[in-house]
Amino acid sequence: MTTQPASNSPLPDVAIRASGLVKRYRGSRGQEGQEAVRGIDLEVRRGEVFGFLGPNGAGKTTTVRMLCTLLPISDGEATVAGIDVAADPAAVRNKIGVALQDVGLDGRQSGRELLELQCGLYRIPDPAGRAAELLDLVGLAEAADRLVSTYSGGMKRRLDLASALVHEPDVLFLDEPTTGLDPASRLTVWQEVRRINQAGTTVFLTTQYLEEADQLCDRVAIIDDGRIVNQGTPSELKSELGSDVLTIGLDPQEHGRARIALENLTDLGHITDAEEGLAVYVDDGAGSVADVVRLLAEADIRPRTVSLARPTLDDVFLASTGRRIESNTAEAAS
Amino acid sequence: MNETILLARRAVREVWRIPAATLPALFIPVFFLVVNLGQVNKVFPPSTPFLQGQHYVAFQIPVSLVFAVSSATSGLAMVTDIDIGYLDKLLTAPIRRTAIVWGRLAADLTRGIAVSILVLAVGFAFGARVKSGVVGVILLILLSALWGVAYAGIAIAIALKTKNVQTTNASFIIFFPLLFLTPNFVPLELLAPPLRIIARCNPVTYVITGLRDLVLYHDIHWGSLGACLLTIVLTGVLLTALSLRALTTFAD
Repeated sequence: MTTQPASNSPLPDVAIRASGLVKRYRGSRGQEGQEAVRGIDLEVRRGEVFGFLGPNGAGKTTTVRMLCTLLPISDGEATVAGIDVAADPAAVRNKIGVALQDVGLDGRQSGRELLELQCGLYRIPDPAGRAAELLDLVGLAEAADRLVSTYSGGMKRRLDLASALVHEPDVLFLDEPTTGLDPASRLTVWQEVRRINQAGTTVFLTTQYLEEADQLCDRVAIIDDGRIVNQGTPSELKSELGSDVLTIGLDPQEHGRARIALENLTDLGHITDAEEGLAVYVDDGAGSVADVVRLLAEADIRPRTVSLARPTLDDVFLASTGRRIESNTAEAAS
Repeated sequence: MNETILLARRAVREVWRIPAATLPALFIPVFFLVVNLGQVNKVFPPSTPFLQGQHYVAFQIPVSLVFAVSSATSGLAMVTDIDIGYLDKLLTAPIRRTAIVWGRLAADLTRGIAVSILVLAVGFAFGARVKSGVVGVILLILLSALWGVAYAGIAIAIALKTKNVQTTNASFIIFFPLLFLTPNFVPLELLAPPLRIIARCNPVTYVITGLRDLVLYHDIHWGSLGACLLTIVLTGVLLTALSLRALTTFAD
């Protein structure tokens, strides 16, 4: 099989397109199969950083694995770099770089050996030279000849990124690239992703971190339970909710009455249930606080807390799914 | 450079860097060899007809060789690659997927050659001689190593199917009945009739007999050597095909 550096070939304007994408796992012993991805439609434009935001188990990794040719597609269609994933997976592999959630590095090799092998597998003409260049680029030149098992989590992640870039791919898939990293390493990875994107590579990134999606992504799709529930630029998604969000802490039995009372708020965008009360989206948060307290008092409801903030992607997730992504993530982690 | 050679080089480096993965596979057969010799050396002195004037250790060397090279090491390395996500990285690279298995088998060949030399050295230290000479020694080493390659396919297939260390290790346990239902202690003719029938159906019998004839006789016995080689080739084709199929269906 011959492989050429993928960046030489022209890309269509759409780097990734999925239509009605479904992943259905077979059931065992007569049990019904499970659908991990339930009809995803998306379009990632060439040169953008596209974020796939959702809690653990939402279907992010399954989608990436289908797009990377690692999992067969049960239903629907997908193209990457203009190539049909199901019809020509080998051609897709020439165009993509992949860094999955489990850092796919062999700890028994040195960083240099690993990159030289990767260059060899992609038929890069000067594997040693390219490996040295990449090691330098990700700041691992000094640690190049140490076994990967001695690297820190951040170093491993950077090496994994470098190994996904040996052939200068058109599209880079990053599955939760900063999960488990300390804040400093996370920032380094973000810088690296920005640099890769500025060099012209389209980045498809899955994350459960709101800040990561907000900071890095040009556009974001929110995925929950195998379906995309909302998508747009982070600012578009947040502005759909109104300018401000008032989070009101309440006893659970008072949610219903409070919701009815607050429907009389003049400035109201909309109201959703939050973890410990209600999230009230309004245009002018500061101006509405007094009205909120007054309306609740008239209904004989005493709020435990009232806090004012700008809407975040977590609020977008809450408005789209009725749950907060951060609590889902914490539950999954515990 | 060819992707199979690249992956083989990586796997061989692994063998070199992690001797702990190879040494236990060597220790058990050498332990069995020493214990067996201690138990029956005096029962079968060199004057025993089937020993052709050699010490009993010469009769046991082929068993130890086959035992030493029939390991689950490649399968366990494959499970590790699955666990750490490295197999995913290889599967998203534009390479022939078969190269992943061939690379592992190339490492098995290297490991098999090294282990066979060590087992032969132990046998020589206990007084065994290879009567067919240098050619016989080379054939013993190569055929043993090739058997190791042929048998490795089962562990790789189990690794890819189950993705589980314990189950993959079980492929080594499967080999115990295969090894002991053979003329491993005495020639086929001296086995009890039911065991003789089973041994005749057991492919490992033909591998041991072929190797043993190289140790015991000056002249090369082409019949037993051919049967040995044919068994290795057939086992290799079957089990390698099984592992390649397991890799093809890995993601399903």
